[in-house]
Amino acid sequence: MNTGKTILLIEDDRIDVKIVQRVLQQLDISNDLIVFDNGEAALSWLESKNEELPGLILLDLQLPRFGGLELLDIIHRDEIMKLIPVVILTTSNHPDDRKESFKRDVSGYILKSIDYPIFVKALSGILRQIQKKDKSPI
Amino acid sequence: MNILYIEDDALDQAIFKRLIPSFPHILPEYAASFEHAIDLQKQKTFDLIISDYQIGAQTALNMLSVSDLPPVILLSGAPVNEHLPPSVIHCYEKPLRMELLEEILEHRLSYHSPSDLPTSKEKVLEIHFDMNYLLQVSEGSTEVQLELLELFEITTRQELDQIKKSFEQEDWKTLKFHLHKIRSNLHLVGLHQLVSLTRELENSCLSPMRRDFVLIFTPTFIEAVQNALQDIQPYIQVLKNQ
Repeated sequence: MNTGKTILLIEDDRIDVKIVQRVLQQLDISNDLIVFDNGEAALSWLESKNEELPGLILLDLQLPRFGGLELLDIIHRDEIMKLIPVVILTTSNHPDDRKESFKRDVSGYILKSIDYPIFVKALSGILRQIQKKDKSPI
Repeated sequence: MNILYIEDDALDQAIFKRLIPSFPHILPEYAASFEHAIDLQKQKTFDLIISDYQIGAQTALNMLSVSDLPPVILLSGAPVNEHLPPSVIHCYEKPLRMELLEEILEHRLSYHSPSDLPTSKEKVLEIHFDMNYLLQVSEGSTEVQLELLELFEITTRQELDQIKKSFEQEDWKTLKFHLHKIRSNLHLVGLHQLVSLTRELENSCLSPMRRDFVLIFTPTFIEAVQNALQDIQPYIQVLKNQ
């Protein structure tokens, strides 16, 4: 039964969207998943939600036009939105991307395109941590 | 991972020796001249060479003319303006410090394995699918595999068009972006060599010193992905018939 908040996935790669859907399904996470393929649309949606903000944001760093870090900056500066846990899903293993993401208080940084069981385990571990820390209903 | 570190400056060598124990999986050998480095290279296989650009009166280009070298990272005290051969992955500015060494080693170690990086055009064109990842994601479901492979075909063609266009227009930033995007598609069907090459091209796009590598390998990369799109058809057909 789905009692949790919405999960927001910001990802322009359709294969990765499908893979995240599969992981959530395998982890028995049945929260509604809202997907945006660019940061601008995701931000407009977030700004329109006010009190019904998502319980979690899964964010790709490499987005067209409006990059993941730019979006993260805006979320981080907003008094309300900064309370939403953000997990980065990326193929970038570059130390700068990690450093810049954690500077903006992300809850996790997961490398996509690694072995699938490792990816599932990593996402599951981070979701558990967020649940414990924030008592989030995810 | 076996690394050959070439440096004639005693202080720089001491810094490297002080930093390297933080990477227990790295087994370094040292040379203070290119002659000694070439001798060592004949005796042992290295996964990576990290070398000072200038050793005495010689530059690393003397050593780089030797064939069968592993990937090379150059460290230089001044900007290097010469065109460097494809074996040079990157040229970093000295001094060597912990963050730089982490970047070098993470960059190298982020490959599926060092041997994954194809060394010639012919190797790039050898297509080997490894469907393990796809099988794991789909948990063996034919329906999910077909859905993912359909997405693979559509999005790979789209990204490939953008790669061709940006390469023709010499728009290196856009090329880098679309190479990054196509990488997870190639990973889905286990094209490990092409994944490594994509990462290498992506890392090289914005470096004028690596332009030769991008110019040589991007057309071959495009051809290889086109071949892969054809070669995957029998696999899709088998799934459809199930």
